[in-house]
Amino acid sequence: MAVLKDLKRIREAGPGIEAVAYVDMATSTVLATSSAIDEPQERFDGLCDAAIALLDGADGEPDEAVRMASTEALVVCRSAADQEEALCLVCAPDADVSAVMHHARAAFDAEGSK
Amino acid sequence: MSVDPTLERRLEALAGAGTADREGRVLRALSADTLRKRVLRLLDETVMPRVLSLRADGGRSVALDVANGRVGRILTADSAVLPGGEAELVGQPLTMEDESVTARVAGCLERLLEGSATLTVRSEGPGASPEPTQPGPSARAIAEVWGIELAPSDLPEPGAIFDDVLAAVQGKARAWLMLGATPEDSGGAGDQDALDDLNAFAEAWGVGGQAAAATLGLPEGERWSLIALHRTGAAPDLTVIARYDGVHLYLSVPREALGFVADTWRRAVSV
Repeated sequence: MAVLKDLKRIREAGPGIEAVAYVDMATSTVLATSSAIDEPQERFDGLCDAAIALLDGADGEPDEAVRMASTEALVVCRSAADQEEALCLVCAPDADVSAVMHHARAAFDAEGSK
Repeated sequence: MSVDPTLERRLEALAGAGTADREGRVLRALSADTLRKRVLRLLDETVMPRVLSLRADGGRSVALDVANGRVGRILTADSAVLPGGEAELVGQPLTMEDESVTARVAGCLERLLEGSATLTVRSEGPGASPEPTQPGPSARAIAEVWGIELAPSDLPEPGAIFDDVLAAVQGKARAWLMLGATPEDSGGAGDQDALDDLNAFAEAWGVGGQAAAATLGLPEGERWSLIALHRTGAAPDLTVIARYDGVHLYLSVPREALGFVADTWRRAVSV
């Protein structure tokens, strides 16, 4: 799984991304993380829960989701190769979420072309 | 007697509403400028007298008496935050008679935040109420020292926000649905199927989206949120749920409109 190895690169290359987590929604497991600052494990567990609620809890099971609040923006993107896995990207509240979404999808596309 | 909505919100704040989420809260930012803005907003929105204890990376810390958006007193501070002669500020009522006070408090906070990516905020109260005739430096005055423009904290009422957002995005929406407002309303580009889908989605999502907000792990006390969901393939549109207070706006817009909708929303809620 190339995405797992490339989390740091994905975080650093994306626009204003503070933390990245790759999660398995079927088992509620955080598979890998990368963060610009030290984050407690609970923080990443919370991202996994959010990914499950956004992608598996909503009607129609979406593939992409954005959650914006006053303190941060969260972008979640489901893997096309494994529907149970997803990339979670945490950004500042004023981040360009559309660009972050494209960045996440491009990371999966790059993996698929390898 | 009608009560001014802004005053009403202030009264709610004075009653203690919305302070629980500030207990042990961590402010994060990639840039020093963003962290400064978050601190300024925290100070500006502190109406009820509170003691705010701020701890930066590396353990630097300061405790402040804050009320009415103003710093009334520096209660404690590390020597790294208030070095040398600046230490005399600790414990003194911060009056505006000394014109240098605002710059000195700004300097104190600047040293606190220097090189820090996070700030842990603990809010306890009540602190001491500042004398009305001797207010300490306001968040806005500190923002001026730092050359930062602080957006107004008195946000418009939900009606005004949704009016602005709808006016901007209506042309791009295949359908929209407003719940929790009086009167509830809906519309779109004449696409009844899209509106039916949106109604079904809103029903599945929960009454007014309240249940969804709780399960999505949104911090308690968040006044607003925006959630956008996209399913590739069968449904090419983006479904957006924008919540402000008790009002929810559901939108069905093209996937390409995500950036536009997010920016429009952010402007409306002054982020």
